[in-house]
Amino acid sequence: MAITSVHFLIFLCITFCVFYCCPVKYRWVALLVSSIYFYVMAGAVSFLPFIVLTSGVIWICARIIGRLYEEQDEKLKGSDLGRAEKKAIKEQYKKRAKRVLMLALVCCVGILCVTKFTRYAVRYLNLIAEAANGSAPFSAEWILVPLGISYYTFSTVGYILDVYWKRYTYEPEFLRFFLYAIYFPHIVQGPISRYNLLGQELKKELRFDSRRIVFGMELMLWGFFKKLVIADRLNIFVSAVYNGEEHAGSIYLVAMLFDAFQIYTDFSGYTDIVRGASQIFGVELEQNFNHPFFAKTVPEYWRRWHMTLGGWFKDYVYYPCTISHFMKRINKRTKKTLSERGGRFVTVVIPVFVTWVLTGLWHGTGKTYLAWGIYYSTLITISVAFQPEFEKVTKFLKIRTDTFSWQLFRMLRTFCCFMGGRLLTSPGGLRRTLMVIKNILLHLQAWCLTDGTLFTYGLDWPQLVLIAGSVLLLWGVSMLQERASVRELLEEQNIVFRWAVIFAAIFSILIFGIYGLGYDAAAFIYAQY
Amino acid sequence: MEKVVEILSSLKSGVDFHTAEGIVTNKIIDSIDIASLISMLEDEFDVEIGMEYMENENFDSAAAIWEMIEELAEE
Repeated sequence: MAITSVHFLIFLCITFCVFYCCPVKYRWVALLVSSIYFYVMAGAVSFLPFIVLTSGVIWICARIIGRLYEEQDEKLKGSDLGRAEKKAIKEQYKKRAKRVLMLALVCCVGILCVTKFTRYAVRYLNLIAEAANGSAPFSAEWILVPLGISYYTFSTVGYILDVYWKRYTYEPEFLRFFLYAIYFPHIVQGPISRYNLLGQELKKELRFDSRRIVFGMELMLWGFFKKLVIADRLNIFVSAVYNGEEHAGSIYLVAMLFDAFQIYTDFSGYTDIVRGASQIFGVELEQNFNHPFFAKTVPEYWRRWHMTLGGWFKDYVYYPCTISHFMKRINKRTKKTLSERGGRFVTVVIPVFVTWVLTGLWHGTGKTYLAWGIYYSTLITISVAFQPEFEKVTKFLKIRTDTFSWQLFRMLRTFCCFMGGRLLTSPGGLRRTLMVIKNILLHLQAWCLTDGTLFTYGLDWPQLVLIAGSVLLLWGVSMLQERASVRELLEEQNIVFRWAVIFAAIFSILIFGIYGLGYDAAAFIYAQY
Repeated sequence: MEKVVEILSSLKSGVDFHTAEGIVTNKIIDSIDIASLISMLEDEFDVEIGMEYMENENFDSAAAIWEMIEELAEE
C-alpha cells in the first residue's frame, strides 16, 4: 500500500472513522491496530516478527536498565554512605546496565546489519567463487529486508540509549512502546522519532480538533503536490538520462539539477504527507526538512535536510565518539606533539569521519555510499578546520559579507556541493559517475539544450514549463514558510479564498499529477533505506 | 564562570557570552564547537563530561555550563 495510492486514502478514511468513534481512552489502540494492518499491507506478514523482536528486546532491556537505576537510587537514598562508597555503587550499577545495553545493541543492530549487508556480502562471495570455479553458488534470495528496518531500529536504539544515559525513564507498557515503533505515518520512511517526543504525543488525550484536522489535510495536499506534480515528473527525465546510454554533458548537467529537486520534493513531499496524516489524529511528528536549499554552508545544509537522521547521528554517534576515552587520549597526544589547533583538528576530524561513513552506510552498502560518506566528511572537515583561513581570504579579497549577493553565492555553492554528493550515488555506480564527469568536462555539447534533444527524455516543453512554474511556487512557499506558517496565514483569510486555494491545490494535483489507472507512482527514494 | 566565558569567546568571537542565552538552541555554537568546548572544559576544570550531560540545556548559556561544571566537580 503506497502512501500515494487510493488504497492509502481509503485506509486513512476508515482509520479516521474508527479512531474518532472510539472512546478517547482507547484511541491509541485504534492507531496500534491500524498501524499493524498498514505494516502488513505495505510490506508483508513475514516482516512482522522482525519488528516485534526488535521492539521486544529493546523494551525488555530498557526496562531492566531502568529497574537497575531504581534499585541503585534506593540504595543511595537516605544511606549514610561516604562519597567513595556511593561512587562504587554507581559504578557497579552502571556496569550491569552497560551489559544489558550491549546485549540489546548487539541483537538489534545485528539484525539490521545482517538484513542490510548480507546481500552485498553474498554478491562479493559469488564474484570470488565465479573467478575461481566459474559458477556463483550462493543465493541471496532468501534474505528478507523488513520494511522500515533502518527507521524503527534507529528509533528504538535511540530510546534505549536515552534510558541508559538517564535522559528519561523506561516505558512500562509494551504495547505503548510497540505503537511508538510501528506507528504507521513514520514506519516506512521516518521521521526517526524520539521516544520522549512521539511516545508522549501518543500518550496524550487524542481529541477531535477540526482546526488541526484541516491543517493536517492541507499539509498532506502540499506533500502530494510536491511528490506527484514535481518529483514524479522530474523522475521521468532523471531515470531516462541515468538509466540510458551515454549522453551529452549538458544533458547530464540538467539531470543533476533535476535530480536535486526530485529527491528534495520526493522526500520532503513524503514527510509532509505523513506529518499531515499524523496531525489528523492529533499526533505531531518531528520536522524533517527546513528548506535545505537555503543553507549557506554544508554543515548548515545537514541541519536542514533529513533533520531527524542528522540529529540521531549527532546524539548517538558523533557525541559518544567525541567524548570517548579513545578520542580524549588522541586529543591529548596530538596537542603535545602538534599544537593546540592540531589537537582540536584531530578531535573534529575523527568523529566527523566516523559519523559520515556510518551515515553513508545507512543510506546503502557498497563503495558508492562509502565514497558519499567520505565526500561529506571531507567537505565538513575542510569547512570547519580551515575557517580562519577562509575568513582571511575573504578579508584579503575585500568581500562584503553582509550583502545579498554574497549570501546568494554561499547558497549556490552549498547547492552545488549537494549536487556533487548526488552525482556519486544517482548515476548507479562510481564508474558511471566518472563517465558523467568525463562527459560534462569533455563533451558538453551545449547545443543539445536548444536543438530539441532536451525534449527526447520523456518531457516535452509544456511539461518543462510546468516544472519551472511548480519549482517557482515551491520557492515562493518556502520563502513564506521561512517567515511564517503558511497554513496560519491561509486561516486568517476569508473562507471563500481559503477553500479556493485548497480546491486549486486538489485540482492541480488531479490535473497535473503523474498518476492514473495502471500508473504506478514512482517509489519513494528513501523507502529503500 | 569567567573562565567559561573566556573559553566560549575563544570559540566564537563577537558574542557576549556573559548575557547570551540559547547558544545551542539558537545555533550560535554548533555540534563541532561543542566537541572543542568539551575538550577545553575538561582540560581547564579537570572534570569528565559524560553522555548523561550531553543535552542542549547544559550548554545553552555560560551560566548553564558553569552549573554543570560545578555539579561534575561535586561528584
